[in-house]
Amino acid sequence: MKKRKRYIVFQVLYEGSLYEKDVLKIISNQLIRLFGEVGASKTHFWLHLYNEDSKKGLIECRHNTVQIIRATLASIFEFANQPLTFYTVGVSGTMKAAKRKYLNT
Amino acid sequence: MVKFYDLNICYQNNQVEYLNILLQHCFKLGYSGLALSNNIDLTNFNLQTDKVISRINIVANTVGQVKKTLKTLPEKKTLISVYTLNNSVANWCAETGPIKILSINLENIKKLQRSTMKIASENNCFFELQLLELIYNKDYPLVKKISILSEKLNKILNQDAGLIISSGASNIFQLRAPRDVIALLKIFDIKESDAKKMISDYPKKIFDEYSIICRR
Repeated sequence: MKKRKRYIVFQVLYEGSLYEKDVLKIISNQLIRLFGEVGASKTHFWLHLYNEDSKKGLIECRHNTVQIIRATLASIFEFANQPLTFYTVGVSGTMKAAKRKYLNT
Repeated sequence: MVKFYDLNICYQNNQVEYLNILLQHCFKLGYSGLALSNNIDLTNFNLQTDKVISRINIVANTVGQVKKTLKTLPEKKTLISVYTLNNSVANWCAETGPIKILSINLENIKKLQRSTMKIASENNCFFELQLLELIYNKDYPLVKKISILSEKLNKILNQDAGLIISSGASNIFQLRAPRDVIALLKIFDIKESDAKKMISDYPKKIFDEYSIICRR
């Protein structure tokens, strides 16, 4: 059976430059810190895109792990000794709808 | 549609522009009502006053200190919260009308007794935990923080005492979207239905009560 997915669009608040590799590292590290490697692997988390200008990004995960990803994003608060905040902008069932609704692409 | 409330915006700076940015950011995130912890005349701000109420935070370790502060408050239009490490003060506050909120954190939650929870539940007094405590407190290791809070918060909820969550934010970095807060509370073993009550139903009760008083 095909596994159901969800696409989470997020916004970053950070007063500096933040690159895609940083975002991936920050989220994965926090996910593992909170839920462990087993818990993290069950989310099938993947950072599909991150726009360094708008500081918006798109994460894919399994439909039953949206709350885990949201909790992970909400619990992040700093990077390189500077305040950093992630907000969930919206959640969608397809990547196309997520991009159309929340990323205006 | 569910309405969310943040009853503790702790603005410490006197810059009107930044406060406006902070409050507008709260509304953008999805909050319908806010309580501002500062003695600021809200008429100076370009916002709908029916969406913001004022609040006073009292820190006290004796009943006398609380009584003294209450006497200095000019009117009963302000939401009053008390933070204390003393159980007899907590009990007194829980059964005293004007005090609506008992602030809890990792320090005083360990000492919180069942009797206080019972008194608070009977007298419509709410316990309040700040997001700052959940996310930013570095005094405790994460494991310890999660274990203490999941045990104690669930004890409060099982006693049918009202528990609310607020940001305690003084800048936009400390704010979180309401649905992200609900997800975050899952880490502390709080059911989604209880988490929704903590950020929506319970604070709504308080907000509605005070916004009606303020409009009179």
